Amino acid sequence: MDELGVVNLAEIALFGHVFSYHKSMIIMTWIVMAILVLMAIITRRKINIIPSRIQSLFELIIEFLDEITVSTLGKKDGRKFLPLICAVFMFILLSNWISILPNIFRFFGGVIAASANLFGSDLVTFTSWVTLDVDPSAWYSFLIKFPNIEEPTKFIATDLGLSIMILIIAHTYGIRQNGIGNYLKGYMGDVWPTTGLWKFIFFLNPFLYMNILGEISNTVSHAFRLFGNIFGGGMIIVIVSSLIHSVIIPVGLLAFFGLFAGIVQAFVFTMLTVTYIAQQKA
Amino acid sequence: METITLFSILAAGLAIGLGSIGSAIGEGFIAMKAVEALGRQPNASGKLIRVMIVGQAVTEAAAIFALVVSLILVFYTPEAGESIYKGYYLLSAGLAIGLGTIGAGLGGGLPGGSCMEGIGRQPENSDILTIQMIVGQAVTQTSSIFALTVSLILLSIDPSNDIVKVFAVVGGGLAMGLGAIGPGIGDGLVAKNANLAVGKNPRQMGLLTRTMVIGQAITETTDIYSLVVSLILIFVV
Amino acid sequence: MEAITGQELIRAVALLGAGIAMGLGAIGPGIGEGFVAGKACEALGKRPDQSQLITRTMIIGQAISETTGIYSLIVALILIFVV
Repeated sequence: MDELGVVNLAEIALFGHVFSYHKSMIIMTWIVMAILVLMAIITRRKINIIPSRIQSLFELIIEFLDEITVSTLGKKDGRKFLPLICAVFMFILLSNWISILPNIFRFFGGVIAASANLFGSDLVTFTSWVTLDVDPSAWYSFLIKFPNIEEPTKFIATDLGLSIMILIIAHTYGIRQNGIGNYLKGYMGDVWPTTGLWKFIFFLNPFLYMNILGEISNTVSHAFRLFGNIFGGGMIIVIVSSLIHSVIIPVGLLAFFGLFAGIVQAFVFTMLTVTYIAQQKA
Repeated sequence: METITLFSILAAGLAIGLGSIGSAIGEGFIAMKAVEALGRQPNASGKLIRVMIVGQAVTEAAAIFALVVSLILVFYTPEAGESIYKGYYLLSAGLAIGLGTIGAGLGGGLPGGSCMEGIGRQPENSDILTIQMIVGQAVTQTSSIFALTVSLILLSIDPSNDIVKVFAVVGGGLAMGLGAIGPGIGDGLVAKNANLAVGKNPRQMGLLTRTMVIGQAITETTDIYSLVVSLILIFVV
Repeated sequence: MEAITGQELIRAVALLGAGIAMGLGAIGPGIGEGFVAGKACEALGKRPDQSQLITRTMIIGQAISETTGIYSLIVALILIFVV
């Protein structure tokens, strides 16, 4: 439980200011991007009518998202935004899932240790039916001591970065679609007249501030929804694991918070991205 | 030191006492609907009871979160010379998880109940109804996960010596705890109606699940505002 | 525990009040938005062909139901940063 309250930020001095950043977040983000690019290159090399396993996985994701974007945004704009939507979905999904890897090692280490104990190895001791201590000299101890991998989406900076990117893309699309005049008129609400002298006292319009605040709170909630779920799930796994010192029990939690919540939150983030872009269309 | 122990015991009681209200009612609701469905379809009893137990297990998650925090609080041993303000942090953690799981527990029961209703009407749809129910209930647990996060943060940080900060921390716990009630129930209502619709029109399950998840995500927005305010009160002020 | 006086007391109660404001203020919109989305799902089950219209109306309805939640957020932020 000691790792909970600790914040390890690295600092960098730039132009007379001190900026802090999270090292493992940046490393993990690059690793996730590298895996995605590698998978794409491998698939792209031998694309076939009869899809290979990895190709059919990509086809499944793209077809699923294609249906959603085309039905929400229309055929032309939907296809235009499809690469963005797919990239966002796959990045978030892989980011959420990458922390499962060390826990799989831990689980197998636990299974090996438990079966070693069954055959009378004195390197393993069960302190209760769920708790086991492994001697560090055993060859499988590295599996149990495997270092934690942190999800990039566990840090608010990644999530806010993504949601601000979506905000800028959606509003650029809105301006290009409706023209700058109509886009600004959209902030005035339906009640406030936009003709004649009324134009010059637009700042008295209460709806203006409500609408601007609504946009900001959309972006903030977009980011914090992902952050809260992934951060909370990771925290629960750490707490429960440390409470019972077990390597086997957290697997069930992991299946829920890692696999299931990971894919649901990636889907929610992607769907809301499509929705925010579609809202700018009207 | 005794003061901190006093607070931790009080907080443990509040956490599990308040936290079990929602789950208890939710599970009772599922069982009620299951009995009702059994009256209509006595032949499907095996399916009904199996799905009922799955639904109740997921609904129970909220109460288990409260139990985890409550156990940590019961066995909390203050370090020597720890500031007595830590007691307020513990109390705030107990309030956050206790109040915060009421909504998720109640909300988890609603889709379970409507799933029972659907199976009672058409037992052959039980598989897709179960999947739909679990997705709905799992998203409903988000509000209790947020409450648990805030509660665990409050348990693990070092107390400040400023009394103003202590008020802010208690406020943060209350913000998250109270704020999670409404979205929890609201998420449950969404999942309940989506389940009913799937029971009537199983072919539209994909569309309905999609809409349900978006609807629930937007319903959670106020929950996220509470989380943000609570984190500001804990870390920024 | 040392005594707390004057300006500090106001600040402390304002912070507590911010928490309670956001907490209580989130209950109503949460339930209300749930009703909107729930009924939208019900309608979608009956008329799947109108999914675009129903989803759009649902999102607008929820955005408006959320207004009071945003009011609570504003009041909470004012209590934290201004008072």
